[in-house]
Amino acid sequence: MSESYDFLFKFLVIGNAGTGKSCLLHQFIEKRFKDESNHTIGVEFGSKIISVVNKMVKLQIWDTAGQERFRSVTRSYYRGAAGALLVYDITSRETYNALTTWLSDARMLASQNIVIILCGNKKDLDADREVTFLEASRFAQENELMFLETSALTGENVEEAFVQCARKILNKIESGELDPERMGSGIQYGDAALRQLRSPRRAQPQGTQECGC
Amino acid sequence: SFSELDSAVVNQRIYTCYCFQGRQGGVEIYPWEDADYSIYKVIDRFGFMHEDELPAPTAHEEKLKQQEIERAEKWLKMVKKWDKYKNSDRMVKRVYKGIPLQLRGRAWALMLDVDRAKKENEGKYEVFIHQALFHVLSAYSVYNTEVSYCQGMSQIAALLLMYMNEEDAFWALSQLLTNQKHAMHGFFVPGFPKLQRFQAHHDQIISKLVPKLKKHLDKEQMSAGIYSTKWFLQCFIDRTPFTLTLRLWDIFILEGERLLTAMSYTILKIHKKRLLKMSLEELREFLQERIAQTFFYSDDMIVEQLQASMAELRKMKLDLPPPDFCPLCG
Repeated sequence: MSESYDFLFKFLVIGNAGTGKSCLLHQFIEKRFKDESNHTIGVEFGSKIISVVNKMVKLQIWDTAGQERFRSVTRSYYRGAAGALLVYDITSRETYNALTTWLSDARMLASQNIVIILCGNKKDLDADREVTFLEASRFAQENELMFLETSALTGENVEEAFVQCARKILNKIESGELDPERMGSGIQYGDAALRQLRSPRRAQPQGTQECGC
Repeated sequence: SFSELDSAVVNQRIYTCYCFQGRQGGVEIYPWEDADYSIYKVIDRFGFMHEDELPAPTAHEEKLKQQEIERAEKWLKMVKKWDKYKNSDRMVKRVYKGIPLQLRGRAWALMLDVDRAKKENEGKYEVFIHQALFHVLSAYSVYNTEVSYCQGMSQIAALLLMYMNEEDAFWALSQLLTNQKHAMHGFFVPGFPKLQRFQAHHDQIISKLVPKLKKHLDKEQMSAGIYSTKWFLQCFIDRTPFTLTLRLWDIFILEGERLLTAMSYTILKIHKKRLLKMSLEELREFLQERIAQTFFYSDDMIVEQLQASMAELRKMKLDLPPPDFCPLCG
């Protein structure tokens, strides 16, 4: 198993019970639909290494129980998350109405800079839709979230959701907006990145020395 | 896996209803009425469906089956004279050996005093059922409004339903939540006070008895909150192979909550050497998936280890967490 990667990002998957959080995670990692899914008790997690703009990024994804009662337990795992999938079910307005609470929880407990992508899941059940694409994309815009409609059943947009979120975090690291070294950033350097830093080519850059100003 | 339980229960019912009608002339036999129907060849003795036809039983399995038949005869005598055998050494010993499949439901009901609970509450179940649409769980959520329904209870109810009828399963669930020995109530009420207490106690046990492993788990940031929540909330359903789960449930029903403390410690103790070499992700995969498939040792051997842990913890007065601190009485 190749365990070499440049960065490790901690991700969360949050949202009401029954919106398909565990199925999204399963589809992303295993590339198939989990058709005998149980309620998540407490937290679970999974991980996968993906390639994003020439970097190998390991996502460590924390999947949380959606039932209100478990929030006291799951909240303690929010700390230091770099990214999150905020999930609602397009066929249930109730799950959409709960988004504000989930959002403020995530921003308060994870990190101010957490990158969040809103996922309207169960896109395959368009006939039972209760939340329009337009309405949700407005909500996303107002709250500075990325937005996709996904289907854990067919796999549509599932990989994209994780990749887009990871790409945005990488961009923020490159622009200096995010500092991986800051405590609680939810980002760690992987072995590959460390090797690169230690390699002589990087340690003694060719050309004249430049100062940062 | 256990999540197939609901359909397995239904399938078992279809099986018992339809496959004994025979093949008299002119009778139209539907596939599910045919004992030769392939579906029955992929259902194991617990009622679980498998993707492929099951292999013929091995000599070892045949021996176990024979052993179980002999045990069933002993159990049959015992349940008939329950008052005499109740809590006797012989009965306790037989529970640890595993209750035979056919008698498991009856034995669980006896150990949980389901009949008494039923009698003391005569007529109540019918009332809840009417209010709550024929469902054990929704009936229970009407009955116990403080717990109401909590994710995780459904799998316990499903396990009870494999061996009991709906009404008995309802009262068994009620006993498990409220009697003194099991008191699962505290695991499911908002805030999960009992879960916090048991996990804190579990941490204390492993700090004292397997300190090197505790340090390793801490270093990898693998907390009890991650790996043990289902152990405590559902008494190892889904986290141990099903045959072992049943053995643990036999003992849990007999002994109550001290089984949870002892088994959590036993799992880590047995696999200590392996666990010490694992990273966070490997630990997760091992504790949540791998040992749910195979435990590496036989069920009998695990139960032996469990009994040793129980004795060890009892001697150190660590078999149960200290009682709740009450701010009123100090």
